[in-house]
Amino acid sequence: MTTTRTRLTRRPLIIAGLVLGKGLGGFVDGIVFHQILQIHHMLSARREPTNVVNMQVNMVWDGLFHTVTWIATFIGVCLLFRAGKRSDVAWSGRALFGSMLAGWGVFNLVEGLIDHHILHVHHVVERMGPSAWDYAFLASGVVFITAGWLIVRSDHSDHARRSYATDVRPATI
Amino acid sequence: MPASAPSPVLFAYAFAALIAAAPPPAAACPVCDNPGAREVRAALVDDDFAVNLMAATLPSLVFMGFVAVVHFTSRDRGSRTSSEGRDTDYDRQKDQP
Repeated sequence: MTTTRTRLTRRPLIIAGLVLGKGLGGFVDGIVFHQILQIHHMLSARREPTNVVNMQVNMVWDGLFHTVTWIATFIGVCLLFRAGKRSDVAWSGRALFGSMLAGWGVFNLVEGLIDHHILHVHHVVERMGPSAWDYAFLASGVVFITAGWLIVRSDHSDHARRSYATDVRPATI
Repeated sequence: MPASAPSPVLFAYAFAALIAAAPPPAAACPVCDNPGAREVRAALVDDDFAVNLMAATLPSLVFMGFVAVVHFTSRDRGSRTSSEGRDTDYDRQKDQP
């Protein structure tokens, strides 16, 4: 029997999950709230989208927000790919999912604090102005962070060392 | 059988489809050259540009700072020692004398 003792780490997977969660959470915000429901836009508290020019200005800034979100998602994919190439990374779907959920939560918390409460560039339901929905958005961030962290912590499975990179086997015909 | 001329109805549909496919000039796209577009461009780089740019990018920058802190300061609770060495068919064949 061949026995290998390997120090496993989940950190690269968790970091990749956090960044991916931020990107995907940003896309949920942009696609669902900005585009489908249109309950707010990036600058809708400063430029009320009631005429074509203001709508176009908001559309451009929504596009810039999506650009930043796309970059975050791309970085997350690259980090995940790099983690996947390392044989000392514990490959856990639970850790990845939990960290993605936590990343989404951190995004909601940070974006809500900065854009809704500090800069006041938009609010969750713009026609209501500052409202309980802004605080619900922050609360969703706290809930996602807590749930994600608990999911990551609950991952007690004995992770398999992915030895395919170093254990090259001859092809059988 | 003599070849028949195209149906007028079919011709009308084809013409309507051609007209519909041609896009009308955009009213105020940011890169267009008309008064509306110039107004959009002026509004994009108005006095609030710095705040608007901050609103679009600062949350992501703060988030990346948070991730960097997690990466460089966290203790990896998930680290564990695995005595995997899974006995695969290949391992068993290889170990046989």
